[in-house]
Amino acid sequence: MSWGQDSRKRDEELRAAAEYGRRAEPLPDIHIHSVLTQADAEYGEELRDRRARQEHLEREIVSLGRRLSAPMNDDAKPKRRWFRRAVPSGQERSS
Amino acid sequence: MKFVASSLVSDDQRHKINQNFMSSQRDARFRPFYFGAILFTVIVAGGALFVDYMIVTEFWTRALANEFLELPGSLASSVAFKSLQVLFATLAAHIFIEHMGGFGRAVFVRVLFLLALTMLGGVGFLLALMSLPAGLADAGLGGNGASLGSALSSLGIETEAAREAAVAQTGLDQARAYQPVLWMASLGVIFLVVTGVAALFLHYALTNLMKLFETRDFAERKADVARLAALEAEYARNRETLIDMERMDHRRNMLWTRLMDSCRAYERGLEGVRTSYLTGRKSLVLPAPGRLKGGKAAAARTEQMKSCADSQQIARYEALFEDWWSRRQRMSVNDGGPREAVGEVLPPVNTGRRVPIKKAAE
Repeated sequence: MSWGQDSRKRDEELRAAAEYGRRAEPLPDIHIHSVLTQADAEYGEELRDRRARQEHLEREIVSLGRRLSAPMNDDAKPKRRWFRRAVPSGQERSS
Repeated sequence: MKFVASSLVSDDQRHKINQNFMSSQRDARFRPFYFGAILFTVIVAGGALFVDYMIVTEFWTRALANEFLELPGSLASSVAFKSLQVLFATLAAHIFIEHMGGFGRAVFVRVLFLLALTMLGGVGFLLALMSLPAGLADAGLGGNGASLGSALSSLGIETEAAREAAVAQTGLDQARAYQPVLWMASLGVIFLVVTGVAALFLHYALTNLMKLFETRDFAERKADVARLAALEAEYARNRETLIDMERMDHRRNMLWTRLMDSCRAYERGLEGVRTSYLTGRKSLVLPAPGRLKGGKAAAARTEQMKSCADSQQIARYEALFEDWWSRRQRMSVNDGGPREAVGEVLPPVNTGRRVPIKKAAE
């Protein structure tokens, strides 16, 4: 959900403003401050969500890219010797 | 937070992803071939097992049968069980192959080929021996010459043929002493060849089965590549939005737009009242003409409408917005939030030092 698309809060805010108009009362300062504070809080929340989503996407893309670019099974097949099980080259000396 | 990198996947990594994808796609195209290969190798391995079973059955039958090649009732069923050892012999050979490296497997195949040649040579020798009765007859081995020679020798007349037959008979007697060993050896060769072939084809069947399962990798890889593309597209879109959202002027603009939306809603609400005021219709919100006398009511209505119109001045909204914004900035600084004007307080990172360190110390 992008910023300003929280329809319930937005509708309440617009209904309250329209109600002032229907009552022929000037739009009070406190309403304007309330609207701005509410909008600013929503903006900040949206910004935080997007940053978090961006970090999550970054991790996902990096891990997926690493997995898809990893050598396939044929390339990583270890060498075999006479009457010996397949052992990765790194572990050959230590065992 | 700055998002500088446009793509998180490097060109080299992307190239490898494409290569892997193409390779996986190529493997997936061989799926019917792998399936056919499994079918073929299993049939050959099954046939070899059957041949092995028949060979071992014959061996046990000869080993346990009487002189008329008849099996006693109790042993007849045990022969079938004993013959099933070919299954375990084949499995053992298969495990042996699986434990060997490439060189060992190559040696195994060559030894198998030599044994197969020996087997074919033995079969050819037997066929030749069976198709040459005349030659054996001349040598006096059971033919007409042999019977004539034996008749003459019984009369005390020794012929050339009888002498040759006696020599041949001696050779055959010597060969008969080795007959069980030769029989076992030839049976062993045939058994080894057939078991080796069964084990090799079992190995090929398993290899193809593994490859068949590996072809499923393409479907998963395809889905992963599509997911990666979707994630990258979302990352790029999000990045553009974040670049905009992190700018303070953008934030101000968005808040101002939100305020103007509220003002428009107020204007729409006021529109109905204004219309009724202008047309002279009765409105519940405005002071009723009956409550105030004459001109006072009209003046009150006019005053109320005027105050509404005054409140809608853009200068008022701007002043309120600026007031709210400055308060927000102050609160943000007090709360340790992001400071917009950091660049104006501190010098840029890459600029040279204006005052030398010594002078500054002095």
